[in-house]
Amino acid sequence: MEVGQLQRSFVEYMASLFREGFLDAQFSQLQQLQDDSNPDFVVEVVSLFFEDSERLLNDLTMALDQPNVDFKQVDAHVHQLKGSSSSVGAQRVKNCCVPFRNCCEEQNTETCLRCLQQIKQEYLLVKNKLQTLFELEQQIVAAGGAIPMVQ
Amino acid sequence: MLKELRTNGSTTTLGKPPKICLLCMSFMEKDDLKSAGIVDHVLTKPVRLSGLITCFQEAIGYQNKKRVTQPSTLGSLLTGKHILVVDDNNVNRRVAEGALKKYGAIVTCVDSGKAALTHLNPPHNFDACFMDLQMPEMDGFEATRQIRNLENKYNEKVDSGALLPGMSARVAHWHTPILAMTADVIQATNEECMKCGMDDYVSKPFEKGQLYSTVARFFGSG
Repeated sequence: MEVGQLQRSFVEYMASLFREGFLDAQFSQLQQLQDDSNPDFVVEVVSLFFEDSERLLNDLTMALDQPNVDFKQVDAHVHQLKGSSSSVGAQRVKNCCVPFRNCCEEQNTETCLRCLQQIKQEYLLVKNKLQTLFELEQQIVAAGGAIPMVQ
Repeated sequence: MLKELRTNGSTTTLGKPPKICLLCMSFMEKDDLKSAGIVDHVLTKPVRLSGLITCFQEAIGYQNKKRVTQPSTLGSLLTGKHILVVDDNNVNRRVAEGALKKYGAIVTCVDSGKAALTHLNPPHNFDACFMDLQMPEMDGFEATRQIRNLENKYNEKVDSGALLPGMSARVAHWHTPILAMTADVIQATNEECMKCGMDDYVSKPFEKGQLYSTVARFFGSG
């Protein structure tokens, strides 16, 4: 595929991610922080987010699997997830955290598990979307083009 | 008639030909006359005060040297400043660091209240600290309380003469600006923050406008 076509696909794909609420303005902020002195900033931060989230999701699964659930601990994990998803602009993941924390407060294992299920789904979705986005970037660069700035 | 006046080169006592300012009715006439070099300035009727003023200013060679003050930016406030970022979440740390570095700050990141204490024990080189509120073991409130304690003790020793200010003489009185970073602004009630010795708070992740107005209070505006 020629560069122009790749670039157009990239712009359209990016726009769809914002439109469908996967990403919010904070992601744009991250893109603006990337420059020549910090050329891989977005990929770096997003990679940290993936690592962090997967660890937290595993911790949450373990914590909710206990006979006596420590809801304070569960809440602490969700708080972390809310913070990091907010920092990268992963809007849908962030939005799952608020109802999750309410369920923790109510100390309801059932509803907590449902929240966990939902947040896992949203996380996997956004991970997939972001990986596709980065792949598109790589293809553009490999074809000798520049990555378009999307406002 | 005007052409004659010009060519005759009549002069004033100052030896310069007087400026001729013509009153005319329409804009179209104005341009023709001015470009023909017959008159120096043209005022369209009805004459307005502002028009008259501009005309005279131009005539006497007044140059509007109004100095445009450069609006100060986050860059001008933060460049070269040593900032400590305290947050137990590594994604948040990285993003805060990235934002501050973009504006030229020299950033150090730590992941706990305890580590913050070590770094902000006077004397030190930090110009300000951004402190997360909710951290395990020692939260932002407690860390700040302890830092102020350390600063007070140090200041007392300097005041009493027990300690020579030495290298830290640049700081007459230790009080490192500590700004709370919080996603939950309601939690960071001003009262709670102020009580433990914080100076202000900013939202997390950073919002440029708010960051600027908060930082400007401590580093001046330009």
